[in-house]
Amino acid sequence: MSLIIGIVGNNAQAEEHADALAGLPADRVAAIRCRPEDLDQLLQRTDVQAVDLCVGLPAQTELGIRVAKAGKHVIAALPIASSLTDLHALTSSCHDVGVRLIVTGTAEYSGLMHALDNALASGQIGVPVALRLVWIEPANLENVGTFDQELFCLSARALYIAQHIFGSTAERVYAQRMHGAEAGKNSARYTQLMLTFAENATAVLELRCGADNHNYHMLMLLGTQGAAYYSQPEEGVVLTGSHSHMIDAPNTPASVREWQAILKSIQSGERAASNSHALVECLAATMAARLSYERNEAVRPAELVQQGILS
Amino acid sequence: MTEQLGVLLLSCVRHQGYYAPLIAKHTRLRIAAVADEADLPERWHTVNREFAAQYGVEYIPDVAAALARPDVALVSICSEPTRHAQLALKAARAGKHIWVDKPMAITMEEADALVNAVEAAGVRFTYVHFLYAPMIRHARQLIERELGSPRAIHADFVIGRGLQSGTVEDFRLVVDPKLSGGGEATNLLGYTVDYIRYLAGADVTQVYASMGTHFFEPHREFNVEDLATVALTLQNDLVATTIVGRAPTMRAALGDFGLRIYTDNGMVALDHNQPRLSVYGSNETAPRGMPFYEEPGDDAVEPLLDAFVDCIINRSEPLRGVRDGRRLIEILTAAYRSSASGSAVHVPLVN
Repeated sequence: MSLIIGIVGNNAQAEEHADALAGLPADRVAAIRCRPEDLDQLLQRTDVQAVDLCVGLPAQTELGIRVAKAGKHVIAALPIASSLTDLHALTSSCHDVGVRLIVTGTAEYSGLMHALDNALASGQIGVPVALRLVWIEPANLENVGTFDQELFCLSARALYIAQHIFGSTAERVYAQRMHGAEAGKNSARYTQLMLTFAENATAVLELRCGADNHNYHMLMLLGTQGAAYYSQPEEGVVLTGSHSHMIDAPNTPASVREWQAILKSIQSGERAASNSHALVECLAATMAARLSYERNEAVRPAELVQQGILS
Repeated sequence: MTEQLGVLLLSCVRHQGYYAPLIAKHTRLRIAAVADEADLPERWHTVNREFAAQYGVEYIPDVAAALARPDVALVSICSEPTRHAQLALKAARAGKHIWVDKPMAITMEEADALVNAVEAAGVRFTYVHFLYAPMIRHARQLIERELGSPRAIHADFVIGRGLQSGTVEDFRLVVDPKLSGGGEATNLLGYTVDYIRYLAGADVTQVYASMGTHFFEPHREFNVEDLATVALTLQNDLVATTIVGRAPTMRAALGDFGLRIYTDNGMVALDHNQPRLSVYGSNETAPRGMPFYEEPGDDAVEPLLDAFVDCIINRSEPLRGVRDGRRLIEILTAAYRSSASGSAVHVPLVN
């Protein structure tokens, strides 16, 4: 029997998700498109098991709670919520009703992360020591409305990747922003984050949105046993250890593999691709970055949680 | 015939092997002698004697006597880093122009004393930097002619193959604080901070750093960092980051070197590992790129020496003088304090 997923939203993210679902076998899944204002009608349909929210922040959190209370699985994009309080409200709603919160936009299924995960698991890189991640993309303001929100979401995605690579939460986050002509309306288009992990391992994230027409991604990961490099669009992932070699990307597109995992998660009852602990860690680090910029000082994400600074 | 300036090779322990050949072939320079302090380990005297023999000059294990020679106009100081400042002080007080390997000093007290001595003597001074490297000159031209003021700059300088990179004469010169003054931040941070200050046209106002010992037993044994990550705030709200140090692996010939400059009108990405320099203009849909390869020090030191000799002859100011060297020591000191405390440190330092 086919699984029916409601896709809420009319933006580029909704188009991408619909395209990805269309690439899966029709006997496994079908998608129904829906405008946000028509959500109640969608929730009344008994044949819809899950709802994919492509509405951005902050609407995503509020709509997610309504979806959960209707007894349907919630599919939402990082960073899920704008505050730990909102995140807790959504995860609690899902838990109380017994539906799952499934996260998209983590980049876990990208060719880059596939290659890095394999290299880390096989010991080719060893313990990660220093990461530099450059993530530049055109603006996508239809989701979030402001550059500040856009940077918040971009920061969350990059922080999720960094913490995934290091396998732990950043102990300190130090954030800076670019000003001047790059500044958008009352906010900046560029931020750089410096993370410190255990044993003084570090990550530098350069994040920029909407500055020009270019996509540019670069990664340098230095580990105790080897190093990995990635530049897009110029080349794929290269590992350097005893010898250098390219890592092949998987043939299946990342979006399709991500949705395959989502379907498997829904149908098997296994835990979703991203667990709630990782979501809290990601959002705490993202909020720490925002607070660090405001304070002009490094901020410990764990202290935000301990001190109850949740929004 | 043009008069040649006599050069005293004042210790040949560290990196003189790079500079002495350039001095020897320079049309305006002549190696006059090699000198060092008398009270040194025999291995340093041996190195100095070998340089003297190679260039057919006298080795004088007496700094005061060597600096008193009237045929010496300029000194090239290549001792252990912890002796750079004291040798430079003696040279300045003897009225000699100074070329010193980096860093010019270890402590702020040494740096302040050197500023005072050099300015009181009115001698020309420079430390070794890579600002004359073609990639930096090219990036500067792009900024000035096309891309506009930088808003953010990122520069990495990570040497591969550890202490076997071929750039270290004796590993203790890099890891033993009695000789090196610190770890790889002391050794290398000045290079990238100079890139950033030069390309930004602005000075550093805040430093946040994290340093660790991740890779090498010698660094661990002497408790010094082999890798440092530093975030900088500069005047006019510019921001920058840099990763410097030494790693076991390498991709390019010497290590990992990269530079990205974000400006009002686009971005320059120089990736030594591609190797490629790419310009991403705001109004263009595809980057303009060009193959570009050099090691950071390639083609940087010889034009630096040429320019410095011109400064001595014309009594003009070098691109980087003693106050720039002092500022690098101040930023380095701030980075060590930040790494120890976990907090950002403002510069100028209060104490």
